[in-house]
Amino acid sequence: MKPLVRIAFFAVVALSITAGCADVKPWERGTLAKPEMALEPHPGLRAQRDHVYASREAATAGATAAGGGCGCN
Amino acid sequence: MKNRNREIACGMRRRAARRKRSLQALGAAALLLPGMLTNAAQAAEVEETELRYTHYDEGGQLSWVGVEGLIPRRDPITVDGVAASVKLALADRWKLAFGLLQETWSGATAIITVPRSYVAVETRMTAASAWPSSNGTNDQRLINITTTASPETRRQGNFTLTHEGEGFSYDIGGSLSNERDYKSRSLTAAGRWDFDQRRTTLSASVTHGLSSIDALLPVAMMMGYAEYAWGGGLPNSAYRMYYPGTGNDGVAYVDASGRPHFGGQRRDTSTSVGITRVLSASTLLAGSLSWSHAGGFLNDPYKLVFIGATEIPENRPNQRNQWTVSGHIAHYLYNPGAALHLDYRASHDDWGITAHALEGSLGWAVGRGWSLTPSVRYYSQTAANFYRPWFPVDDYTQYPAASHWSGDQRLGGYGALTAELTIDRRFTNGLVLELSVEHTLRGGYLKLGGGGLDDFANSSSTQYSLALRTDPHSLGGLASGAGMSAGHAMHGPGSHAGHAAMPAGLMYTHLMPKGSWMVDYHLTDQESSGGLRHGGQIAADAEVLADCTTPAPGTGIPGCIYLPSSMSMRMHMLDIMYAPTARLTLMLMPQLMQMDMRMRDVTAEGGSFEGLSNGMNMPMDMHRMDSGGLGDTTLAALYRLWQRGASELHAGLGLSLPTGATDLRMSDIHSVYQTMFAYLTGDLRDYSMQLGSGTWDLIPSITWTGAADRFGYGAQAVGTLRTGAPNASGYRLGNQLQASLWASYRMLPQLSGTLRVTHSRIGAINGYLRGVNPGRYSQLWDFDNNIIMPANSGATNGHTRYSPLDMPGNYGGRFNDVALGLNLDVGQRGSQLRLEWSRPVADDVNGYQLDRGDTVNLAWRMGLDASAGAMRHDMVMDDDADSAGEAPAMPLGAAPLDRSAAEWFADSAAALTRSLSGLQDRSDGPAAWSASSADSAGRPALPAVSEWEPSRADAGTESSWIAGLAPIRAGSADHRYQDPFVPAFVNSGAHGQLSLGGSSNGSGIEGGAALMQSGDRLVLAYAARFVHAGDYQDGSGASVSATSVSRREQTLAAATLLGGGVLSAGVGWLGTPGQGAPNQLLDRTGGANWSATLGYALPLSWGAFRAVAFHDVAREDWGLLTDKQALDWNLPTRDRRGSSSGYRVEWEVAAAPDQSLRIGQEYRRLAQDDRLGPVAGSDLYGPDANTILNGAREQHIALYADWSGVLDANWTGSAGVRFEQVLANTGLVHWYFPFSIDEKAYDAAVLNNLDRHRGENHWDGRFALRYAPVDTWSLEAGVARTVRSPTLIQRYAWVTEFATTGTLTGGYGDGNAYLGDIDLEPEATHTIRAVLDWHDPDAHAWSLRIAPFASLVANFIGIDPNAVQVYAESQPNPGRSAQRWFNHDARIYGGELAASRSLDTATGRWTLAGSISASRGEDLTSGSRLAGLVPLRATLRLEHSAGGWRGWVDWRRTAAMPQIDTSLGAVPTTALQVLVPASDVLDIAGHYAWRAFELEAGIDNLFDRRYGLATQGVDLVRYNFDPAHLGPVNGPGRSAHLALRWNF
Repeated sequence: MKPLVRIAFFAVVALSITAGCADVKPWERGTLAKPEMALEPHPGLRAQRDHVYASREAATAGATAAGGGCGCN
Repeated sequence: MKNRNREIACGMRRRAARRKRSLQALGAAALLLPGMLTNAAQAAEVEETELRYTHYDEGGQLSWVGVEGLIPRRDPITVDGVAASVKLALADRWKLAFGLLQETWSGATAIITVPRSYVAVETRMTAASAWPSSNGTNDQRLINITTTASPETRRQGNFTLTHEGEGFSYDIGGSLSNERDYKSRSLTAAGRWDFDQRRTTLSASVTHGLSSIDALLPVAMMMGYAEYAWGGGLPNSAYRMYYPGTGNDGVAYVDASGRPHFGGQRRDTSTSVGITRVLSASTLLAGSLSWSHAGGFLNDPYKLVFIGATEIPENRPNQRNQWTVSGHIAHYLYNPGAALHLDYRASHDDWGITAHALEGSLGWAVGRGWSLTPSVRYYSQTAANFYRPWFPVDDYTQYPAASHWSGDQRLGGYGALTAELTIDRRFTNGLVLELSVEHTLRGGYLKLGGGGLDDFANSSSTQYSLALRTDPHSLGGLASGAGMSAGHAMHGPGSHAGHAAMPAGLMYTHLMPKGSWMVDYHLTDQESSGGLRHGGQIAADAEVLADCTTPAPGTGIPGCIYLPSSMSMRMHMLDIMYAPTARLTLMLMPQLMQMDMRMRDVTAEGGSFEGLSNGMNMPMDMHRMDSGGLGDTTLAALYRLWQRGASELHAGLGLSLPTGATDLRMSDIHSVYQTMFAYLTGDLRDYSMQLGSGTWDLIPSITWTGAADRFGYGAQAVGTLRTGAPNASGYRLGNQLQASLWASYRMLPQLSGTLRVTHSRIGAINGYLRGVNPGRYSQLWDFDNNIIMPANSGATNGHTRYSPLDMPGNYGGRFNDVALGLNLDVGQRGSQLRLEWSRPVADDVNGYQLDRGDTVNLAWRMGLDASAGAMRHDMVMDDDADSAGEAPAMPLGAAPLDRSAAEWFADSAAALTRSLSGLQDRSDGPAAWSASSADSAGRPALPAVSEWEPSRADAGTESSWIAGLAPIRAGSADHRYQDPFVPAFVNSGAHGQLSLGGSSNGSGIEGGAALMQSGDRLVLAYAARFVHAGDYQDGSGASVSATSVSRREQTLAAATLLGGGVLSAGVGWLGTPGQGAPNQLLDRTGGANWSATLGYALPLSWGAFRAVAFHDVAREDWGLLTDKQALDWNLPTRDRRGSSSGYRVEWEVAAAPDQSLRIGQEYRRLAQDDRLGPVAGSDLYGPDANTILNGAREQHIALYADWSGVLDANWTGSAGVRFEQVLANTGLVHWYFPFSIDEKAYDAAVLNNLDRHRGENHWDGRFALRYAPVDTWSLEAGVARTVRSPTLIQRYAWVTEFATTGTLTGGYGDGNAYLGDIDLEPEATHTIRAVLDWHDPDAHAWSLRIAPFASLVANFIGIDPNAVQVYAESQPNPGRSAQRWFNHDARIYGGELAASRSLDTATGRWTLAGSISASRGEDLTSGSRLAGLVPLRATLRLEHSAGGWRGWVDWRRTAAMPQIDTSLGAVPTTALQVLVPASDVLDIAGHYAWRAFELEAGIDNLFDRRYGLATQGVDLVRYNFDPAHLGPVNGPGRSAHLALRWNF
């Protein structure tokens, strides 16, 4: 657990440091609005991939919202 | 208005919630599709829709499967799924999204892992006590036990309701998933808050899920549970698990039918918080922290753990807490215009699993609506602290009672590496076609920090996903119908005024306007239930059961215990249409099938059943069976024959490819115990549950349509003709004919009604389902009586009959339908929805069949790009700078792309023979014949003696290579990739070449033709060549037997401009009717190679993109040509089949004008079968074939980076690195007589019992520099490392005790047998080369070149001198030996000295050129010399040229060389003692060019000297005619040749 706490701590610190440097006006967001800049450009595909990962990897086992696949297969 | 909304929304929810049948829900989804609601209710708008098909394939894991109980094999898992989702914008900031998903899978992961010695014990107990375990009895390496799981289907629905406010939004959602043994439901609440002008977003969510697991266990597995519970001294928790109600987590019980169940409930709660932050105008950062808790029954009920000699269910803790932290950064790179995403997440749980996942992707909008997203993901996890793959004997008694255990590999330590490429094409109407391919490798070897699972857990998977979705980013969205000014370009049939409505249930009904693309999604759902029908009447159960007792071939012992009570058949089909002309429409139709059968047990009504001995399909719940997966795929073309006014007649022809499985089986018994009986289980499932026809089918059709005012009408006949032999499962479906008449009436401008009557005739099934173990062996072993039963010897080997569905006579008949339908035209985009309900009337069926029910057909048609005009529109919409240019003018200074057509043209034939199928890829013995090194008569060279030729140092292979070292991007040491064909598009019309030549020695004749048509948009090229020659004579006038040759080749290629790049396609054919092989026992007697390539090259402002895909198929027949027939060798024939497919994608970044970096990814898969056929009348060579390689395959996955560039005025350099993973495996092999108990069977069993999977990771590298300070000299030097894996033959050739078969697989061409070694290591060559070139400034008058090289070869693949066995008595060729490949270290060095001098005189130009090359190889382990290297060769050429004339004299001298590794000198074998004496040969020739004509004439070997070919092995034919003549294959004596060529 400890390394995770460390990572989480650094993540929070990093986010708070960067908080000051974001001076992006709404009209400067053309780039951010591009489809490929979406945090998940292919949500349907992502859901499918996560479903596979969830049935193959121990780390994503909590994702029951996707339903099914008790891992029997 | 509001009320109306609520009505619609509520209706929607009710419909979705009811979810009585997914069809209804799908129908509802479809009704919400684009534009549908815009007329009905302006407020609700469709924001996004998606339809997705996914195919997932997983394999590569070594398993032991019931049906193949004696021997291990791999059982792949496949999953086919379709998903549809819709997002609606309701009024007042409310949004509703819902989705449906249905997936069907077959195959299963291992249920248990056991030590191999245990499996070996089982083997001995059953099949052949004479077969010892190959690894002794204490082999603790693990092997997986798995089952043949028959397909099952999961269905899932989910919704999300969102309320959006100013700066916040709230979601509530739910999902429901249903499969036979797992039901799950969950609720989610989430919120999102924006701050700081939306620069920061916080989010949080909570999900709660409840799942219930109810697994139906195989009886045999229950025995394991029981035994464990009753065995005494047991941990309490397992005891609790066995007894119903006593455990707090799991419950086991026996249902009313006596079948055991195991399961329980689990609850999952997870919560997460996240933050997203805009860092700059081009950078986003996101992070999240989440916690999840799982409680209850967390086991996988099917997983067992091996304890000593028994098995127990796994026992996981009933609580789990997992923490996950993640970070994601997205950054936009303005050059090249792509979004870079990096995502990292780490998690840890209280089971002790720590996992890391790192993913990077690059979303790159290429322009013109195309975008590419390559991505790479790495994942690694540590093992759960209770993970134990197995326990040694009796260990469990010491295991603490409170502890937990699981052998599930997913809880072990391993890593995974995934590469993915997603391609999006945005069309003008806001639709996006998305294709994604993903490949994942998993295994302990990939775990971070090492220490992962052993090889038994390695696996790999590939996923393909094809989706059609609306683009939320497209202007205005889809539903608003805003703009889409390109809409007028769409000529969907709906908006096409002249077109009347077509019923949804019919195919092949209409042609499309020229240049249009269209996608039509069809859903067909047929539900049948009720009684059984016989002819036109309903039949009583007793009558059906009486019919079941009719004996029939192939259906086993008569009797039925089940009758079908209902069946549903659902077919999803995508019809992708394109009209290249107004008269022709092309169609591609992939299908996804889903079947669901319910049966009732009729034992009480007098049903009887007698299975095959113990062969009950115990784990199969036959009351309810699912089936599904990819069905057959149809390619079709429609052509208009006649048209007048609104009437037209068109004909179609389709070809249905057998892509649907016809070998689906019932589940077999899961138990380790039961492997001994398992050969009796896992019967093929009945005809109606198979997914395809298994045959290539022709689908002719003819259609007449007409229209008048609001009416439309038409008539159609469609046939389905099954061609060829019965499919691999033993049967062939009946032919079909369907005749339809219909009429339509347009009620409203957008709405039409249809009425259709259809009469169908379906023929009966020919043949019958095979029994168990089909195909693999032609006999079955009867363990009770210890005899082998001949194939199909009556009922015992037949297919077990469970129900009338297993009887082929109960299929087909005459069917009549009446159908009513509605068609709705949607919007201006050619969208059309069609719904049709069809009802059977007056069916007359063959035999006894379930009464056919109603059918619902739903179709949704969408027009895509209609024409080039639409393309333009797309380009304007796309704001990418580099795509806004004018029509594709080639190439933007991207010189590296521009390969001249002539260059390709010259290479094409050679490339064809070089890359075909992998049989030629690598020198697998005699197949290494290569036309690329043809001798002067066009005669292909003899097979290479050694894998390691001097050319392997890549000497002089291409002039552009620095220091003669192949750049990394040229491919691996095993395979050279071809770049895509990129001709210059110059409108130069047709030109070509015709040539004809002949040679006197051997009466050779050779001809060729080449034709190229060049245009400014299209280039077509065709080349053909033939060679025919008889045996030649050597210098002493003696005929050299088996040197005749006959070959033909053809290549066709085309290239066109597409999307700013060049798309090319090529197909090649090489036929070899006959080709002698003097140094082999067999000759090539037939066979052909086919190859197809597809390439795309796209110049970009910052470099280039290239992609190549290829598929080659080869067949080689080996037998005896006339010369060897005279020897009366009673040899078997050899049949080799291979295929090779692969692709390469490469990005080239031209960092500076004279520098380029190329990054690429490659994949190649090689498959080979190699069999020796039976010899008629031979006791030894028969009755079956002898399999040398059976399904042997190799998979290569590589990544590389290669840089080359100019450093400064004097220095040029290049460097590259390449990683390649090679995975090899082979299937089960057997000797001629599969069940013989002798040393050959033993050899086969040794290989069969091994884990035959092998894999290596290769690192190649290269670094080279050229220094050219002045224009009179240059110095090049470089180092390279190249690694190659052993060939499949070197790994897997398996017969150790018999020389002839080993000899037939080739080797050094010396008549000896070469045996494989599965544990061969890859060969790694480290080479250093230098080239000093000194010449006059023009490089014409004189030059001097010195090129030394030295290579150190680690694990050189040579011959093991200690494993040589000599066969003094064997015929043919006494004194032959059997040798085994092995690894030694070796050193090879040598060099070349070359010089030339030219003089221009009044009589023309005179040139004198000479060279001396030397090479020597040493085996560092044994200290002996390596074979196959020419020690010393000198050449001298005097040439004269003037005007069109060129004449020359060539002299070459080769020093004497030993034929074979001198380390074998001590071995008393005769065939190895051949020494090739020194030789001198002089050739003279002249060439004259006049206008378009060229003439070449000459005499080779002018002085008719007799000489031996240095590297071509032993002349076996001559040796067998006369054992006193043991020597090399002699080269041709004097031969005059003449050739004429016409260039036009």
